[in-house]
Amino acid sequence: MNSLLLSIMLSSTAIGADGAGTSLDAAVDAYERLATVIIEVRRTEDSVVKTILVQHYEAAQEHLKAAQGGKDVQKHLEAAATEVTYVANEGDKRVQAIRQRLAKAGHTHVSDADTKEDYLFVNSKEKKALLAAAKSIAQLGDKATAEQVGAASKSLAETFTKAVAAE
Amino acid sequence: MSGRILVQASALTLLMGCQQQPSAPVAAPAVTVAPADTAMPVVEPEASAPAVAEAGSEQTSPWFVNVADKAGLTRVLHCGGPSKEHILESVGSGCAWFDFDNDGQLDIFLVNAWTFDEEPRKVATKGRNALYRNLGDGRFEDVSDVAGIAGDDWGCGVCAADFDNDGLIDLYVTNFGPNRLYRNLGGGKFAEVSEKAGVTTPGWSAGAAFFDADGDGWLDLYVAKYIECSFDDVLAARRTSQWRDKAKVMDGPFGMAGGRDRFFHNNHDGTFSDTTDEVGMTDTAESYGLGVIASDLDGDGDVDVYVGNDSNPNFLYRNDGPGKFTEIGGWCGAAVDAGGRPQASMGVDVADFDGDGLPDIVTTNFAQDFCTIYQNEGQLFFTDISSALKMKEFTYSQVKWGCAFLDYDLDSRLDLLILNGHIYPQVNDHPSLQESYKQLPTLLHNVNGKFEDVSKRAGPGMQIAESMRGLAVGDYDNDGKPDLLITAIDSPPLLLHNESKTPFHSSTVRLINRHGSPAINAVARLTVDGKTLWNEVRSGSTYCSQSSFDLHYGLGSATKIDQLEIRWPGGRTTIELDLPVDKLLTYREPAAE
Repeated sequence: MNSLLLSIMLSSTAIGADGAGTSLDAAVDAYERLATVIIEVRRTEDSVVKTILVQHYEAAQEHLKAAQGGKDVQKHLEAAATEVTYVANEGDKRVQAIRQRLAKAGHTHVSDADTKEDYLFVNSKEKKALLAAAKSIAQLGDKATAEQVGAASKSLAETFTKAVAAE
Repeated sequence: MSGRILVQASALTLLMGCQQQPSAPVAAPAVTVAPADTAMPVVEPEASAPAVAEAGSEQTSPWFVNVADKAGLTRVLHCGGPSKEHILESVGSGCAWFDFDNDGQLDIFLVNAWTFDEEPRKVATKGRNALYRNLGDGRFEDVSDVAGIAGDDWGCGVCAADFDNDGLIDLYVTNFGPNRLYRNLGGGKFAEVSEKAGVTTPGWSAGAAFFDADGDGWLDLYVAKYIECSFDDVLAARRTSQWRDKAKVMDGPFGMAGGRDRFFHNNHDGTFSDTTDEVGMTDTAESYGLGVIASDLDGDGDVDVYVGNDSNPNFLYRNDGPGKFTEIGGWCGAAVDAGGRPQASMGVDVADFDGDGLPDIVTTNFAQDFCTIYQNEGQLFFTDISSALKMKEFTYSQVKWGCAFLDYDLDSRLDLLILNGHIYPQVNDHPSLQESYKQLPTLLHNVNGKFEDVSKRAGPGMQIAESMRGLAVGDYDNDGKPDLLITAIDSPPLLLHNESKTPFHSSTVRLINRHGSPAINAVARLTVDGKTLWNEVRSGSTYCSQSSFDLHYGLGSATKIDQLEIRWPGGRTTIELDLPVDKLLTYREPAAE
């Protein structure tokens, strides 16, 4: 992808900022290649965001597993809840700031980004379910049994699978 | 955190109000005939409050009258040009009730901004902040120049507290540009010390609050930051967004860079250090911070911080003690609404609305959205109960700002006041939107835990439409009923005198720390007729404003206070029994042993 981007950039340089001295065919050719890059960038963005979601999900499951060990239960449950919240929000606070940068540049994923979450995977129903899961995990408390935590882990897995599934 | 319980005889620590104020003890709530207010009524009101149906019944009559002009509050509070091209011109400014001269009377501070000429856009007027001294007869005197506090920055918010423990209340004013810390020198004078104190924090600041984060006896400071932009951006801005596919309006905040909130630790020597990252308050989300409230939300003796963010999830910083924080908004239930949506939060307030002993949270949000009430379930878990309280029905169409729980009719149940006002003047050009730039406030009466909208029958003061922003609650005339100080865009402030008819009693509790200043985050639980009423002294509140430090309680028909339990910062407890009603009760924090 990087070499393709480079090729486009070189081509764009040849065209010049105001298009002067460029034939129509050359411009259309450059636009064709630019379209390829844009489509590829979109695919890559999907992949990057999905990776972020999977990372947070796996971290959440790791903390739930640790909580089942009986040591620092509350700490691990809260850490798991935090990771689930990041799945619900399609990324942590740094990603939230990145989304604001992208929005400023006009790059959004929903037609009404002013009023709807500009997410790629998690819809509002799934988000609600994930936030509820996060809260209930944190509420299990330091007396939570391994069975209770295990049930929360299983429930989270089902919710997560639905959230990242292609729609 | 456990504290020693000191059960003390009333005479030892109870300083009746008359020792502080010639006019106290406070008179029983008066039933008066309200004169008609003709200042800016939109709906012609009745000339006076309807009579109370039956003394001792639960029927009371809300009645508020705007007495600002008569009181001498004439300073116009500016906010940019008429067409509001940039979001800076939409946020307005805050106000404060505080007693700067320690005469026992609430004085007023107003934050001001600038005006623009259009075409070409340039600064026309730099508005000046105003300090008004309470003369004790319903009038206020402008002492801004004498006090040395009339800054001409582009002001946003204000919070008050005694940051240097000298017994005098200081002011922190947030700006678009460097913030200002006005140190109270006594004798009615202030000195601007923000540079030396290290709290200028350039950029665009909004809500702020002083609180003792680490229990060291010195007040620290949290400052919410809104948007990162330059003044050139503001002047160059042109409306390019669409509101509801009709009106061409200003952009933002969506698509703008958010600011990063700051935390300042008090160094005990008149200076602060920015320890935002060290204490766990790093704002990587760059959310658009507006409202801030510092409150002990879990009752564990240390102070937590709740931040209302515009268009982003709100923050709840749990104080893990001492002075280290974890942001738990995401999973505690108080960051987004019940549907998982972040809202455009602006104002915030905290009070035990439902009487279960746990403080609940209210946030005000944008139009086409509702005010949200988060019920505290304990252990810092919250549930959005807005739907059950019909908040959508009461608040959906307005743009909502300052908000406060208050018991305006003294029936011992907390009511809710919400200030409204659009940010887009252009909505007036599109009648089909059924919106207006200037909007009426919303007064919700608490009837056994459910709200009833009583705005339309709450007197002429509640029929004034403005684009309202800041709200501060305080009983400036010591009649036992809370009055309202309100700022509005490009308008003088409103002073809504509470002339509600009620047969009920009240109590005002003033909590003073060992230095002689308000005991920030002291909590007082007052028990009457088997019911316990929770309240907390706070710096910073509602939207970019400062309410009175005195704690006000409506007592219903109770004729005595069974118990008053005070939990001082640091954990010590004072308990008083069998206290009179309709008095100002002043308590001083016991000396350390």
